[in-house]
Amino acid sequence: MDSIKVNLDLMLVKREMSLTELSEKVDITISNLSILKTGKAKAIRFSTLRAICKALDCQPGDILEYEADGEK
Amino acid sequence: MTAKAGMAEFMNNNPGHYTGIIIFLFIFLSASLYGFYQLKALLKSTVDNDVFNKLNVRRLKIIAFLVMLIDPIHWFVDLYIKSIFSDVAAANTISLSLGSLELSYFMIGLLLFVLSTVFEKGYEMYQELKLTV
Repeated sequence: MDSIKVNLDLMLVKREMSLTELSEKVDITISNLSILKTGKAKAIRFSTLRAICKALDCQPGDILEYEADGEK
Repeated sequence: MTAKAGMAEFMNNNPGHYTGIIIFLFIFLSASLYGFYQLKALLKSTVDNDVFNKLNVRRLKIIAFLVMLIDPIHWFVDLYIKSIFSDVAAANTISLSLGSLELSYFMIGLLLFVLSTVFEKGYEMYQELKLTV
């Protein structure tokens, strides 16, 4: 089944930032960021996405990626 | 000369009917208690402010099913009693006036069933809301 992949962990490594640091910067609980990071989230608010992009200095496309059927 | 048709006397002469009625009462009371238990659990979850969960959807479906059964059971019991006492009634010229099949409880049951599907949707939406970051 096709899905949206969240590359938050990849961006965190690139920016050398921990999840705790990010949670402090974007004012979102670690548990919510973990839900997002593990791909369990059903939806993401624009405000959250904007805050994460601002904190990581990246584009939404760097965090979210469309994965078609059969792709890994 | 007058003939008397006492209930106890009639039942003593018809142990099959007696057993049938006892079994029916047992099943009816068990189902009622089970339904009330589900209702109590449902009310408790509303007090605890935890309405939208899978258990409540199941509870509502059970209650809806039990409520829907009331009318057919009532109709069946009417027919059964009528069949039991038809001989006595004929002998003593008693007129038996028993209710026909009414579907008010059935409609309430259907409404509860619809409500349970609404609850199911509510549960899904609640889960989505919880997993919205």
